[in-house]
This record gives sequence, structure tokens and C-alpha cells, in this order.
Amino acid sequence: MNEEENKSLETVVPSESESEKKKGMSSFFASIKTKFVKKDNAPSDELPRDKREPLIRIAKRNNVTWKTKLIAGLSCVGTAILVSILFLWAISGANPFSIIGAIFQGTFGNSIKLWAAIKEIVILLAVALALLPAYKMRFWNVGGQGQILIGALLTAICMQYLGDKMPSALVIIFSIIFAAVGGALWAYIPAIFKAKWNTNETLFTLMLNYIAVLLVTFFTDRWKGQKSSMGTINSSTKSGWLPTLKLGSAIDGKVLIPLILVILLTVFMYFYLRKTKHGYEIEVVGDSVSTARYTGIPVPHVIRRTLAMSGCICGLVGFFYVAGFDHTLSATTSGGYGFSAVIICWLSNFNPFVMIGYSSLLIFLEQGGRNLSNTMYYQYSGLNEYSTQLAVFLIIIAIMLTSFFIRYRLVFAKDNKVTVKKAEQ
Amino acid sequence: MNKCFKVVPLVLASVAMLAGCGSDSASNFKAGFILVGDETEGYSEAHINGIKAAAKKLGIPEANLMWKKKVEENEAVTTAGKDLIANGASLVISNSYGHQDYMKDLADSYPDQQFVSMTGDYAAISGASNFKNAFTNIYEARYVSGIVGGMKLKELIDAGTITADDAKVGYVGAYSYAEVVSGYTAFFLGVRSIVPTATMEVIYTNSWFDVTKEANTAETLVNDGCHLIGQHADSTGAPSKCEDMLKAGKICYSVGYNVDMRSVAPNAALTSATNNWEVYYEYAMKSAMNGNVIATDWSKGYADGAVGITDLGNQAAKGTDAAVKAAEDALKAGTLHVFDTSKFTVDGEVVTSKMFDLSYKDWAKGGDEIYHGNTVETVKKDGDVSYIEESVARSAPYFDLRIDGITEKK
Repeated sequence: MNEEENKSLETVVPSESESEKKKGMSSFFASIKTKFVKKDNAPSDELPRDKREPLIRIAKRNNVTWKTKLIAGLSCVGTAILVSILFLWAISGANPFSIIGAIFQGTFGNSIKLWAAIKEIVILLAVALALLPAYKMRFWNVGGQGQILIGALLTAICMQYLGDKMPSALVIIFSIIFAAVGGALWAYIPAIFKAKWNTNETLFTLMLNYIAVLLVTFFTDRWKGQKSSMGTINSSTKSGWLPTLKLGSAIDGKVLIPLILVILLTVFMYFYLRKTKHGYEIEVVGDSVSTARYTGIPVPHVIRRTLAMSGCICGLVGFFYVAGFDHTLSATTSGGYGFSAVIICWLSNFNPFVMIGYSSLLIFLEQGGRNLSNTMYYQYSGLNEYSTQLAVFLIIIAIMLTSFFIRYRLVFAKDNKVTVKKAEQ
Repeated sequence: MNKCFKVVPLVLASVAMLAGCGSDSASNFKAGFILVGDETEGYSEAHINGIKAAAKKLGIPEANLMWKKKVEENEAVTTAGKDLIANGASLVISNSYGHQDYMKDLADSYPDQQFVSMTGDYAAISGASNFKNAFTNIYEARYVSGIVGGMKLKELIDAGTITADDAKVGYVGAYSYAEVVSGYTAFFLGVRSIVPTATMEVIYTNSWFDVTKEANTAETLVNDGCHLIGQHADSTGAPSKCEDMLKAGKICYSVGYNVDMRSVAPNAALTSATNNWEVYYEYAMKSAMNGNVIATDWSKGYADGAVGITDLGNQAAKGTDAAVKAAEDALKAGTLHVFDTSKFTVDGEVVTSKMFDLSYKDWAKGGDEIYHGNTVETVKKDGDVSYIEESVARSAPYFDLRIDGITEKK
């Protein structure tokens, strides 16, 4: 299908391509169109369209340069942000420039806001990095949330039951081990089933999320005793709490270590996936299981190993949530990042460094939206937390569409007809 | 010369800014509020109204009040609190008991701001000097609302509708801890000051706000033979159920909590015990605004106007006004003690000593002490009267005796 498609276009393009290139920026979409055309010259009379061909087809774009991607990406995101601001302006009547100002203030307003944003970016990026190898392998791990919760739960269990029996440092060490192993196990279970019986991993990991949520609820319900909610764990002894570095008011001591770790993780993932044998195996399994088998890659082993690593990192994120940030446990501990991270993975086309950009953008928008409703709601009742969230999601969807259309394009059956006619002339 | 021109306006500008800061503290003061519900839920609505009224009185513009509504009792409190501080709040107040641990954490992290956990119970022993608790002497208002209910029962008895032994009261309680026990005991003592033969049955819903559960509980109580339903839960479930059952021919009346219930129970609602939070919010915001330290434990009652009852319903008995007025005056004057030990017994005995351990314990872990507090005697003497003191050793209620005449139904 693809080949035929390329041929059909090719007959029209050559004459236009040169002139359109000269038109510059305004026609960059057209220039994208020209770039993926293969240079082989297929005869034009082989074009008649299959009668059963669907009205719309999706075809992959080839050879799109990063420059084009960047320009297309930035202009689409820019347009999306503009549309969102216009939307907010339309429903509230607030000055668009104050809206933009408030959005920027959400992250850059002061050091508390900046570090709050960094904290969220760190967590989102860590989860996205954890899911990355699984997705690269085309293993649809939607169980990030469950793996985080299991890590968080095991950390809480360590704090709850070991807290008064050993020094805090030991509790932390036990927590790390339990959280890492528990998270890994939670991802390993569906991996075994996938590797052995080729079960549907999307359903499996999704179901495990529910089990994790219920396990967490079960324990928190026990621990809350007669109170209406659980509260923080070891609130007076602070046993098992990661120590907060005192670095002055400009730096959040709780976030610094996770920040450094996540930067290291980003670099590690980049090299792991691009430069190591493991990374190569993951890529081959992702592209084609048959090819992988044929070349002698132990597919089941690769699936299990990759998922264990994925779950292990998620579990550690859970550890940081409970021991580092929240000091408590609830079903909402993972904050939905298990799912947002999936979006980040796909948008970034599996590039860890691009993921930094997308995580930052997502958090920047969320913080901005929240700040907008915080600071301007009393004046403009249209700017409540829901409308600003809506605007944020409009932008995210625009980004997703952009990245889709950078990689793929729609081919309409009618277009084919036209090109055929043109070719005949 | 040139430099001079540049410097002078700068100096003038900064002087103007400083002057701006000093002269109008109300317009620069920002406070943040973390609420478990919003305007649609009686308890939080009462807080919101109190905060707004207090701010108006103090001249604090509404723009300087920042709200975090429907904040669950988990890490969401920390996120909300940080956000409020980042936006310049110098005072952060939360209104649910379950917010307390997170507020304490915030107080540790941000020593320059003051944090109040309303209804909380361990600020004084937590070691954080910028962490506070506050409550009202709501038991006083519950006692008075009990009088309103008692007058109605008395009217029913006098009319021959029910017998004196039939004077059974039902109570929809949220949880079985002191805050609720203290409340229903005060309510019951109020009823019994009018109808000495009254008894009471309590059922817990294990939730602060659950319309359906509260309605079902009220129905169970009425079917158990209760003619007066009191409540310590935040929804309109119980009063509206009473209204339905009253229409259906049952004899049952409701005494509500937080808000006037006449809108949902025009005939069944007699009155509601309410907190007048404005009094505290005015005090707390004024203190923070002027750079003063807020009291670690604050709890006031009728004498300061911090509690009261709502307007009487159309079915309230004749003479209720006078009885209410007499009790309110006595409470204000300090001559009436709600938990007067001559008025009740525990297991048939008059209470002569009741020690109270202020320590904050983890009951899920077998009562491990989290913060240590002193143990104090709560039985006090006022002339010849011996009474159990409430909400003085700390702001949160701690009266938790199960007195004779009240049964808790499991």
C-alpha cells in the first residue's frame, strides 16, 4: 500500500517541489510533502486505484528532517496555545496578556512555584523513562500507576512496621529494596504471561492497576483506625522519611536528589536504548518478533527483563512519593502520572532527551493553568480550575495531533484520482 | 547631574512602596483556606460565610482570600498548602480534622507562615510553634438545641400524643470519638433538663457527609421509636427524612447541625446548633495581619458569640423562646455548666474524677504515643457545683464518657 501511495504522489511532485521550496516558511507543509518522495521513477500508468481502497488511508512520512519537525511542532504548539488563550479570553473576558503572564507566573513566579514545577517534572519524567523501554518494545504497559502504587505501598509498610524497630536509615534501605523489587514484580507478572502465552498485556497491566489501588485502600483503611483518614506515617519520629537537605530558601531540599537521579536516569536510558546490546534487542523485538526470533534473540527473556526494569523504576518512584514527598499513602498517590507518562513517551518518539522537553511543557501548562485560576478567578469567574484545565488539554491534544501529522499523513482516495488525472495530462 | 536625576525618582519610588506596605496592612495581607467541601456542603459553607464576613469587617479585599475547596484528607493538602504559600499567603487555615498531619508538615517546612488546623487536637504538643488548633464550644449550642427538642417532647407528652416513657431521642453520629460523644451528651442533657424521663439511642454513620446513610440512619431511629432526631453529621439527609416520615404520619422532629434545615424540612426542623466561625476567623486574620501570634488553642462559646442556634421552626413548642433565652443567658454568665456532674451518672455512679491524657496516640497501632502530653483532671468545682470541663485543656473536645440513658447501637 505504502509503495503504491508514494508512486502516485511522485508523479505530481517533482515540478512543484522546487518552486515551493523557494516560497519559504509559509509553505512548509508542502515542502514536507516533497521530502519523503522516493527518487525511483515508477511508470505513471501503473496507478489505477484499487476499487476496495478505503476513502482515507494513513501513510508514513519518510525522511522528515528535524528542522522541519521542529518548525512544524513549534508553530502548531504555538497556534494551540494561542487558540487556548483566545478560548480563555472568550469565556472570561480577561486580558489575554494577563492570561499569558499568569501562565508564566505559574512556573516562574517565585522559587516555591519553580521547585513545585521541577518536582512534578522530575516525577513525570521518571515514570515516562520507566515506561520507555517497554513501549519501545511495543509492550503496552499501561500499568505504571499500579507499579508506582505497589512501590509506594511497600515503602509505607516498611515505615509502618519497621519504623519503631530500627534506625531511620535502615528503614529507608529496606524501603528502597522492597519498593524496587515489588514494582519490578508487578510488571514481571504480566511479562511472564505475555512471554509464555502471549496474553494481552494492555488488559493485564490495566487490571493490575485496580488490584494495586485496592491493596492500597485496604491498608490505608486499616491504618487509619477510627480516624476519617490516615494522616502521615511516623509523623513525630519521622522514621523512614528521606532527610530534607537544608539548602536555603532558593532550593527545595526534597527535590534536589530526585532531580539529580532523574537526570542520570535520562542519560542512562539514552545510552541503554541506543548503544547497548539490550537496547538493540528491545528495538528488534519491538519492530518484529519474528525477526527477533529468527536472529536468535531470546524474545521471552527480553520481554521479562525489560518489564522488570520498567516496573523497578516505577516502584522507586513510589518510594520517593512516600518516603520523600508525601509521607503518606493514598490511592491517588501516583497522581495519574502512570497515564500522562504514556503520552510523553509517544510524543517524544522514544527519545529520552526530547522527553525532558515534553514533560516540562506539560507541567508548565498545568502549573500555569492552576495559577491562572488561583490568581484571576475572583475577577473572572470564567477562569476556574476546570476551564483552565480544559485549555491545557486542548493544547496537549494539539501537540499529539501535530506529532502524529509530522510522522504520518492522511491520504484521501479522491486525491489519488486527481493525481492520476494530472499525470495523464 | 544625570545620575542625580536617575537616583532621585528611584528613591522616591521605593519610599512610596514602603509607605504603601506600612499604611494598609489589610490590603497586603493574604490568607489561604483549605476546605474539605465547598458551598454545597453545610459545614464548609458555614466556614466560607464566616471567613468572608470576617474579611469584610477587617477590610481585607476578597482578592486576598485564596480558596482550595474539596481538598481530600491526603497529600492533596500539602500540594494545596504549598500553592497558597507560593501565592503569598501568610496564614493558612484548614477546616477538616484529617488535614491536620499535613498542616503540621507544612508548618515545619514554612516557619514564617502561621498554620491553623481547625478541629485539630495536637498543636500544643507537636513542638511546632507556628502550628495552631481552633474549635468552638459547640457543646453549649448543642445543649441549647437539646432544650428546644426537649420542649417539643414535653409538648407531645402534655398533649398525650406520646407517654413520658416514650420520650426517646435518636442521634445520627458521624464517628464514635470524643467530638461526637461530647456533642450528643450535651444535646441529651439539654433534652433531659426539660424531660427527665428521656432516653437516647445513637447510631454512627462512619462518615462526616453522606446524605443517603444519614437519611437511612434517621429512618432506622424513627422506626426504633425515636421522636426527636439530633445529628452530628454534615448533610441534610436526616432532617429531610424526618420531614418525609412526619408527612407519612410518624411523630418525629429534627434538630440539625451547621445550617438552618427549614428549607429541606419546613415542618420537622425545630432548630440547628451552629458554629459562628466568623468570630474565630476575625480573631485569627486580625492577629496574623498585625504580625501577632495566634493562640495555640482557641475555643469560645456563647459568651463570645462563637456558637448559637438557628431560628426556631414553626412546629417548635410554645415557651421555647423563653427557655432558650434563660439557658443562653446562664451559659453566657458562666453560671450554667453543661456537664454538671449532679445531672448524670456513669454506670449508676456520680463522676468525681475524670483524668484526661492530652497525648496524641496512634490507635491503629495499639495506642502508640505520637506526641506526648500531660494528663489533667477535668472535673472542676465552681462553688458548690462540680462539673466536667470541656474544651479548655485543648480546643478540640475531649469529653468521652458514656453516660447512663444513652445507648450506642452497633
